[in-house]
Amino acid sequence: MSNIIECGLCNKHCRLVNGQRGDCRVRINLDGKLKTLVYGNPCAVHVDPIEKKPLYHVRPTISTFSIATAGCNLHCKYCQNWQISQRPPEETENYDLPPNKVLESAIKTNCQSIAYTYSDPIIFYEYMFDTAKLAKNKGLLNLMITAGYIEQEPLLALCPLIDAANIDLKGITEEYYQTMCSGNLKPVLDAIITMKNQGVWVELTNLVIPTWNDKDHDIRKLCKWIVKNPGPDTPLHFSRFTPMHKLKNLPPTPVKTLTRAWEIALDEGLHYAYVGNVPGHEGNNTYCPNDKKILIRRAGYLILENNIENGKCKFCGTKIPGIWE
Amino acid sequence: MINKSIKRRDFIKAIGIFFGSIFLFRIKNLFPTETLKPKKNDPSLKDAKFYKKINNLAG
Repeated sequence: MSNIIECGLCNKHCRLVNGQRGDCRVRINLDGKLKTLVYGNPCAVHVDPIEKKPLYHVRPTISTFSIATAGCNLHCKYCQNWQISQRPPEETENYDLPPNKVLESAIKTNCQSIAYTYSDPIIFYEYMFDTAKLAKNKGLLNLMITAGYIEQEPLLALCPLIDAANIDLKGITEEYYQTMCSGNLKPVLDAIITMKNQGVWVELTNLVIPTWNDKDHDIRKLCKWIVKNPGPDTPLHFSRFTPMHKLKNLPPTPVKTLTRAWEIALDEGLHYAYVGNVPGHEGNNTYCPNDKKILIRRAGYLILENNIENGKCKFCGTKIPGIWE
Repeated sequence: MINKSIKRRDFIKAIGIFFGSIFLFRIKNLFPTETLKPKKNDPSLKDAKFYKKINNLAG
C-alpha cells in the first residue's frame, strides 16, 4: 500500500514519500500521515508595536505579541529573516509555547493582538489556527504577516479568524516570483483578493530591490493591479531593502527610488501609500485622500499626531478605511 | 581640557542616540523569553491538515 501523500497547504503540492519533508522543511510524511513539526514551538517570540508589521490602519500604538516558527514555503534570495525561515526546526532554538500559553503571555504583556509573522505563518498553519481561535474568543486581534503563498481551501478556512493581514506583493511578474522567490505570482494575487473579499483588513508590502523590481513600469503595473483589484483604499508599503542572505552584493534601496515609487503609487490612484524603513520620510505619514491633511504623523514606530476620530478625518469627515476601534 | 570636552560631548551624544532610538522606535524589551526555556531541538509532532494520499501505481 502506497504511503505517498500530497500536501495541499500551498501551491507547491509537495508529494512526499514516507519520512520525507515538504519544501517548507516543517511538514513530514510519517506512515502515510502528514505531520507538522513546529506546533507549539516558536523560535521567535517578541512584543512589537503594530506599526512594525507594518499595519498602519489598525489600532495605532497597540502592542502585538509576535510569534514565528522555523521554515517557509518560499526561498527569497533577499530574505530578511533567513536565519529562521530557511532552516528546519532542528537548527533553531525553539520554545515550548502551546496556543493557550501564547494567549496567556499576550494578555500578561498587555498585548491587544497576536501577530503570526517573521517567517511565514502559512507553514505553521495549525498552530496559528488554534491560537487564533483562542485569541478571537478573548477579544484579541489576530494579525497575519505573510507572503500569501497558500491554497484557497486552507485560506478560506482561516479567514474568519484573521482580523488583518499584511501580505507581501513582492513583484508583479511570474518571472520575478520564480527567479527571486522560488514561487509563483498568481496564488498570491488570488490570496489577496480572497482575504479582501472575506472581510480581512489587507495592507500590502513591496520590498523594493535595486535592479530587480525597482523600474517605474513594474511599480506602475503593480499599483494598477492593486487599484483594479483589492481597490485604491488598500494601503501599500514600499519597504527599503537591506543587503542580506544571498543578495549582499546589492546596495540598500536608494531613498530617491522609494520616493519615486511612493509618488507613482499616488499618481496611479492609490489613496494610502507609504515608505518604510526610512525614518523621517514624508511617506511615513497617513494623509487624508480628500483634503490631503496629515491624519497620522509618525516618527519610526511612534505616533506623534492622530487626527482620525471615529474612523474619519477630523478635518473634513472623510471616512478612512481600517480598524480604528 | 579640550580632549575632556570632546569626550564628554561624545558621551552625551551616545546617550542621546541610545535613548532617542528607544523613544523613536519604541524598542521594547523582548518578551521575557528568559522565563521560557529553549527546549532541545526535537521537533514536536502533530497532525497536519490539507493533504491527500496518492496512488503511485502507473497505468
